Amino acid sequence: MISSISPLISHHRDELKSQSRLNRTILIGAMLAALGAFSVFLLTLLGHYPLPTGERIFADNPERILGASNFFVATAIGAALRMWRMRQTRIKLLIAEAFLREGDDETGLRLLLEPMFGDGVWRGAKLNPLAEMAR
Amino acid sequence: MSMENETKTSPVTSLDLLMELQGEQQAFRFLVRALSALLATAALIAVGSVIYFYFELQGLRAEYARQAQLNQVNLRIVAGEASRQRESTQSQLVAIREENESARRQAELSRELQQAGSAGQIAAYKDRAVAIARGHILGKTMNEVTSQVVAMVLRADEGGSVRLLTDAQRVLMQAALDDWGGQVESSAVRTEFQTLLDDGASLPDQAIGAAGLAMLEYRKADGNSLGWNRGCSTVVDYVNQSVARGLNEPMLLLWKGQCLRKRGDALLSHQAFSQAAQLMEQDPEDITLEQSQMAHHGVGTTLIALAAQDQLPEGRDRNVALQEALTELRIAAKIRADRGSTRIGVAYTEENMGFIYVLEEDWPTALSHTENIDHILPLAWNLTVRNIAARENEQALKRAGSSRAAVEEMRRIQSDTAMVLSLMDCGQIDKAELMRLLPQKYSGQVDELAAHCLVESGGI
Repeated sequence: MISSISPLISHHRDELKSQSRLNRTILIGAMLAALGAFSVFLLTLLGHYPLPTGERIFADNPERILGASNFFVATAIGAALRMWRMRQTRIKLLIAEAFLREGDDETGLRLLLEPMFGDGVWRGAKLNPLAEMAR
Repeated sequence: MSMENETKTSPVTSLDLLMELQGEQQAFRFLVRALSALLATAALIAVGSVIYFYFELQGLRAEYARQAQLNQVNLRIVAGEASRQRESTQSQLVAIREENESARRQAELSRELQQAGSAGQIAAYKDRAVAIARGHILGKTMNEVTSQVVAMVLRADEGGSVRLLTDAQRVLMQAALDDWGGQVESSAVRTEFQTLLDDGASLPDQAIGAAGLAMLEYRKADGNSLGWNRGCSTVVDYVNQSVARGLNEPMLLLWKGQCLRKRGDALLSHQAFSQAAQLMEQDPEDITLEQSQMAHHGVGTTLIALAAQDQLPEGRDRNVALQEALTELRIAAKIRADRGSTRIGVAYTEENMGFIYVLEEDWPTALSHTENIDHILPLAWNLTVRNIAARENEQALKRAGSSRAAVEEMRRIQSDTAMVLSLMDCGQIDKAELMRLLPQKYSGQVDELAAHCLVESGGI
């Protein structure tokens, strides 16, 4: 049964990867948008509002554009953090998959479950790898 | 089901895992680079924000300081306005006191009137009544006692079998009485004076009619701060008609002088004031303090205007003329104080001395003089003189290589005075006359200081 999990992990890993790709796009987009907004802010400060629209709202209040660039920076930071977290999960899954492939189901299972549920996941279980290890 | 197919089609091999791991390594490198770039962007934006808001706050601080100063200036102007009102009330009190004082001096006459019962006894007061009525028009206002004399003589004339008064005398006395009482409409009084001017049998009768009309016109124009186009020109017309008919009285010349001064005719105005002063010296008995003050103030101010516009008569030394103007203004200020005016009223006259210091280019004296006036209340002309003196003194200090603090102080005075003037009512500035009291070279500066007054007040 354990061996049938391995392809599932592989599939989940692929899904995480595609999500990570989306985050990567958001990260790059948000960074470019932040830099763009900051450039607009600088130009507005120098008295040349560059965009075709929004002059009424932004031309006399450059701090609003500064607020927009701060928003993009915060979005980029959020995307980067998500990428970091997914990367960690993917590596764990990768290692677990490797153990399962080598037939070390016990370690593979621990690597899969413990990060999610903690050490208490085996409490009350018939097969307790921790107890066996302690023995 | 699809999962099972996938499992079958893509078995995981060690090579796959290795490639996955390599892919993760690359993604990690990208992430580290992206985070570095992100950090740099965030730092850039943070620094930009700090600099921007620092300057914005500096601007706010400066704006706050400016608003606080504006508030202070407004308070000063409001306080000045209150002082003006107080001075106006004081002037009215002085007028009442003068009237009571003159009535008190004529207490004897009052007793005589009470005893005079018969028409014959009253007839003896006829000449005095006519003189009182004439005097009322020519600046010596009637009081409770003298008005009784006029009223009793008029009643005796109407009630008696024999006519005491000529038609012209009757109209004159009635007009003077109506004007004093203030209960009859001014148009009725005007009609009476017009009748005297048009239908008077003799030239003196016509002359006093014209004088009465001049009095009414002057009073109306004075209510409008003597604006030339608002009636003051008619005063000069009536005075000229009156003088042409042989009536040469100081009060008429004073009205004419005041109006010509407003028109900007300094030379004719100066002649009128000087002539009035001369007449007063010849016959000082019936001259009131108000007339005397008007004459000295007028002579002094018109001399300044003549000196400023280089229109002094040939052979007249400029410095001597300015000293004379200073003396005249000091006398006028003293009379004003003696009449019971507050120091605000005195400041109205002393304010004009500042122009003399500008014409003499005595900047330190101009600055200290204007400072003293400014401590009493903010006056537009005084502030203009102070601004000019500060600007000129700044140049002089720079040429002499004085300390930076002294130069800064001059700049502060300039900005302060300019700010107060910019908040002042244009009517108070009276740019037209102000221009005439200053040399031509300061016209640009006056324009700058009174930039908020688009329409020039008064003058033609």
